Amino acid sequence: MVLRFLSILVAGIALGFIIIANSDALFYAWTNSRFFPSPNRYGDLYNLTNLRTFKERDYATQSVLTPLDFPRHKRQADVHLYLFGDSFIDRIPLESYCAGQTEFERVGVSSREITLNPNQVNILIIENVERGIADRFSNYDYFNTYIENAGYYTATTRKRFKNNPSVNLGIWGDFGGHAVEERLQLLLGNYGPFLLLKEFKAWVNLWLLNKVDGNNVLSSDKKYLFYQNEASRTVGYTSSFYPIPDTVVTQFVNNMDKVYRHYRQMGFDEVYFAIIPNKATILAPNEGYNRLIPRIMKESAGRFQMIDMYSKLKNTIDYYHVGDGHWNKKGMLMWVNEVNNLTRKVSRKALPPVAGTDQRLQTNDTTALRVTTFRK
Amino acid sequence: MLFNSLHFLLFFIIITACYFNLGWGGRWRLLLFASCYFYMAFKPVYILILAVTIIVDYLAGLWIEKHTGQTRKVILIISLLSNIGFLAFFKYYDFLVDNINTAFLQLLSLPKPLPMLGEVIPGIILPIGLSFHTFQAMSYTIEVYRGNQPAERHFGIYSLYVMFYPQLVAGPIERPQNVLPQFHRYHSFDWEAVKSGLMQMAWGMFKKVVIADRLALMVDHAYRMPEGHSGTTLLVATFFYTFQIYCDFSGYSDMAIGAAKVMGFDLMTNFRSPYLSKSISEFWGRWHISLSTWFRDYLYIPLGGNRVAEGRIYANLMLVFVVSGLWHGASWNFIVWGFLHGTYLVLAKLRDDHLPALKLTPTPWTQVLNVIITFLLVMLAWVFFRASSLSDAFYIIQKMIFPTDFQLSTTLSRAEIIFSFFLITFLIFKERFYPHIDTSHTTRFYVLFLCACTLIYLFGIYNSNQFIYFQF
Repeated sequence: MVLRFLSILVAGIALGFIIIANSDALFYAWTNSRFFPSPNRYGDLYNLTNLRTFKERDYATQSVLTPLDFPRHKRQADVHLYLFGDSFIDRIPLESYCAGQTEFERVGVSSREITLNPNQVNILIIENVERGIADRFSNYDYFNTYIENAGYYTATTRKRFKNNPSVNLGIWGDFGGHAVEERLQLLLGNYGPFLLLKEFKAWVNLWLLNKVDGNNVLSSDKKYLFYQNEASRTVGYTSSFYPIPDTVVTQFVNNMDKVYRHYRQMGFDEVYFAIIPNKATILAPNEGYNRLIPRIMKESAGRFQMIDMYSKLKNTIDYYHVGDGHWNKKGMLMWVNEVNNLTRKVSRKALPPVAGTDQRLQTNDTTALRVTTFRK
Repeated sequence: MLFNSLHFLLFFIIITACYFNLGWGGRWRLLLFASCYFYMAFKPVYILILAVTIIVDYLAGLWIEKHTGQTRKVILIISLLSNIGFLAFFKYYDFLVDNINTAFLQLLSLPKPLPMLGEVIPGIILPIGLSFHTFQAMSYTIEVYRGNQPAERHFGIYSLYVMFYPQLVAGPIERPQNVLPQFHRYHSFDWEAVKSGLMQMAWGMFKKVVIADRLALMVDHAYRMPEGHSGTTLLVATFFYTFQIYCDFSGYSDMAIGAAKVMGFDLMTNFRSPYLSKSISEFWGRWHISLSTWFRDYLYIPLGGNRVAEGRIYANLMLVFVVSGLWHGASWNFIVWGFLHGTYLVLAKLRDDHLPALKLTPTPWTQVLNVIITFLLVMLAWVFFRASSLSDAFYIIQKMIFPTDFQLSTTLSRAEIIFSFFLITFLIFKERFYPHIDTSHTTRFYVLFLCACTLIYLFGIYNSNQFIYFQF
């Protein structure tokens, strides 16, 4: 009788998990609840590899800028800053920038129609991590990524190009499919005791087979952990250590130039590119860096402008997370300073400094602008 | 749903726990419902194909039994054609059209190439395990026609015969005489069967996720772009593939047989250490037994078997193996693979019948030599099975036989390569000396099962690698 009761209980719990994993609505409700810790709470590379050495316990505090971290600056009200970038800058609060207005769109995820104000200096910064260059500026992808599904488009350009479809969540999503397996692994494997098991498996595989889970890569001195696509010597042009011919670099630069001209024609006063170095580029420079960033910067000279993050970061060792593939708070602050310096440079005039967050700024416009606060 | 997934683990727990808490009526309904869910986890709409096949063959069985003379034959042919029709449509249409386009486009003065299936019906894919359940359904109507099996009256039980989830997508291809009576019986909880079934599942899982999926890392890397690799790399990759495909498929069969055994069902054995065979004919008596006996019973023997003229026997052998190759996939690679095995058998038979002097005297050493020669012949044929195209296959064979450089290029670490060889040695040792794991002693079962689960967890590779035979 007890055995029968227990078997029904276990089956009921298992059934509950399968139902949740099969339903978009239930799954998102569960993962957004307070009972579900973020899978990346110790860094995404730790989440991928479960190597205890790279478990970054203060990841949460080191991965976001708070108001206390913001640089004090004069706000340049006549500058309207548009950012179009990836996960390296998507968590930086827009109020940390000193432009009068700042917008951000995530590459490949969101896009927005804009009307450029001719009374302001409208600048666009297109940010990319180094490992994203090969994918986003290849002959095959640049048009789709930056022009057809542009981060910013005007009423005129929208008529010419399509935009990203919106995502709808249904009660029953990918019934039984691959997503269900991934969701079950997330639902069950994200809690303390399971993490211990995963860490043990990762340790055994590293110790016995010299294997890091998910084919992520350890530096030769085993001090740093990198994504496979930025440090493996076999994955292709996304890697810092894969040889890239000059013709391919030229192809990237030519496509960046096409993107540059597209946005200039849209009405932006200036368009800048910024390439954030791969973590491997900065922390393992002696393992055979292919020098993609310096080569792009050299080849692009005189065609479009670039924000040079590589030179600023190349001799640093603590601007990237230990357990994550992104930069930490220090890296973000360096970025904010660079962008703010640029903003000041392009500003026609500067307004008096404004302290604090969530402030209202009086601009030349008749309406008051609420500076955008934290974005997801 | 894959056996090597968390999804299946939960599914199995639910179904098994509920199964033993239900009466006979509840059980067949539960298993049928579970089988539908299992199949629909791949592509829900394709359950309709199964439904049509089941209805047609169920009715055909009843009508064949009811009628006599020519009518029975006509009904059988209709039933077989409907099954083969689905198979031909989904599996062979593109192959046929592609070859017609290649061969006859200019000859027939077609204005444009005939469209491929994906162009006619966008998004269409091959239903998973189609060849398996089609063959199982066909064996039912043939057996009813032959009078070896009474027609099944219970529609639910017949549906379960086609859809029973452990063997639905990759066999073993069962015969109605074996499983239909088992579905009619009430299986009491049998701890011995549960232990034996769980152990077989664990061993199958070990073969799949620890051995096959690890070897696949090297094989996939080498076969993706063979021109970028040395002859040594391709040789090692082919050697690994020989064990990968065995561990992948026999691992699936072990899990299927084990899952059924836990619930009290006995499915037929599908593999018996095939790489220890001393000849190709012995190999085919040990490899994918449920398919080779299917072809023997329903194709080779109806063609005359061994009771026809010598030349006809050879022709029949070749035909059966070419069809067997085609069963695996609609591509010239599989046809060549089948042709090669047919040729091996014909040559062996010619030697036995006409040149017995060439046969080695059976001594322990010649036995070992025979095993090695058989293994090498089988390994050579697998190149066609794995390569992306015929030209790739010939290129790989050429490079393996006449290597120009000897460097081993792989994404695996040295320790992983050594571990892979260790696993292969362990597999051969286990198959040779411990083909069956004894689970009669409960403590021994607990220890072995726990060890197996620990090793599966620690050294398993879990990236939802599909089973190779699912595509067939």
